[in-house]
Amino acid sequence: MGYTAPALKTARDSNGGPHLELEGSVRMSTTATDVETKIKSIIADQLGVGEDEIKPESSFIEDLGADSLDIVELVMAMEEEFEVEIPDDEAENIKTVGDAVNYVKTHKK
Amino acid sequence: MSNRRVVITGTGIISALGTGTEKNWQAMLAGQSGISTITRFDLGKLDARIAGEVKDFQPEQFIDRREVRRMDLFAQYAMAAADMAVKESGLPIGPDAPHGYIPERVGVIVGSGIGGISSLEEQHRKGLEKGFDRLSPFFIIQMIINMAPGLISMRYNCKGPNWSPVSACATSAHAIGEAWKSIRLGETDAAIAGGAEAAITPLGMGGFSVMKALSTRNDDPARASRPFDKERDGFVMGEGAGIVVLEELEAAKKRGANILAEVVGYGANSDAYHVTQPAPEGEGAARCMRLALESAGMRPEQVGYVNAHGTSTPFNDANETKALKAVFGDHARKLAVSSTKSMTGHMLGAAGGAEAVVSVQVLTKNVLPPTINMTSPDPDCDLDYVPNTARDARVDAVMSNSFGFGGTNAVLVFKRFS
Repeated sequence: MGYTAPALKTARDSNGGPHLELEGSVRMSTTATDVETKIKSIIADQLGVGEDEIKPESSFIEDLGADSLDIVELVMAMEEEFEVEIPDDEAENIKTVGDAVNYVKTHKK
Repeated sequence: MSNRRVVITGTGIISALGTGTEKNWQAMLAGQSGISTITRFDLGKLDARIAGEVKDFQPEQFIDRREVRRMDLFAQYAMAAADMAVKESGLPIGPDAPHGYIPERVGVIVGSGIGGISSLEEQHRKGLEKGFDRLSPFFIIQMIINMAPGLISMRYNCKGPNWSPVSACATSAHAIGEAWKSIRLGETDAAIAGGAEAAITPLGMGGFSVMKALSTRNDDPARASRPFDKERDGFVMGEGAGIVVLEELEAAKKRGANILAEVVGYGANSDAYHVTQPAPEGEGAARCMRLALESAGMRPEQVGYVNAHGTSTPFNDANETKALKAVFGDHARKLAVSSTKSMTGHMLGAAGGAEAVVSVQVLTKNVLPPTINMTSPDPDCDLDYVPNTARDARVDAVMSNSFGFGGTNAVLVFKRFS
């Protein structure tokens, strides 16, 4: 397969606000495992938690300490990473890591 | 309950000279310059290419990693300086701490001249590139100035007045003065007060640069900030924070606090003259110094040292000198005056707080920090500016001047505690 998984790079600027970039010019659809790995990596970075603490049943708010602004940021990061659109009413139903993974798997192009 | 005495029990400072009071103080006594070529962004064709960038700051030493990314750099500086000040003070808050202050009676007054400008720049860029529906949900909380005192109040459970003065280069002197007033009048019993700034960004540098306010001594950064020297050509942008803990004297004594100095006077007024130029003869500044002395119930002769506003602009330093002569009369010749901006650069909204920390050091360590880079005497600036070398001297009262764009002035008076 002439495919290289795009490396997720976290860039930080002077005020600490990270943004996610895809390195490499080829951007191709990702496998199911990639989705989980990437979502974990986004969560770990944005919420400052270890990847081993992130389980499919983990609730963003109750287990991972997110607040409403974190959720907005996570949703936006997933939209950009997987080129999906997550409408607000759908985003409200994403409460656990598993919900996020399932949503992306179902809706990504 | 009026006219209670107010003391300082903790200090926190971050500047181009380093993070922490002791590090700053030692650098000042050694006459070090914190100014160098800007490394943080591409300077393009900017006229002014030097600044006092903070180089050793590690936010994770003070703030949870996750919180760091939700804060603009100015708020990180504020949190870190507050942390150092509260630690030094041992300020107890809440019923569980021995002699703990009632949370509702502890204020946080921390301002910034400019606020989260790097966040503003970054998010504006993002909006133009990706659309304004793709901004970070943290943008507003990063940008707004009162997030600094808000975050500090959350950490220490300070439930009293919580707000930010915004008065350019007088910001944090106003913050400390207003906190002093609030405790003095019995509205609060303790406060965390000062300011923070992080405006060494393309917009911040570009904006001041096109006003011709900044030094363009780009080839000799360490000698660019030269207050009161004839060759001065503008201020050098600095950044960082200066925050102090203030307590009502009797409460501080009761809890056995280590009292560093007393805040005894505060003046605040306006030039009502021009957006950037000081009023002729430093009239507004002089009036403000008199207000501060009056509120302290002190005669000019009782002041031994003035930490000047001393920005290194041609206008400020000549006018401040005139104002000092007008207020202090014959005593102006005996007075020691220095500008620590010669070493830190001008920290804008953090300057008054940082210089309050310096003033406290002067009273506790009995040494006057120098004005560095004084090599060419200016006939318009003919006072004793403690040129180039720190000086051992025991003074009992210190005045700290802060004047800002918009014609705003704030002056604080500190006294040796006895």
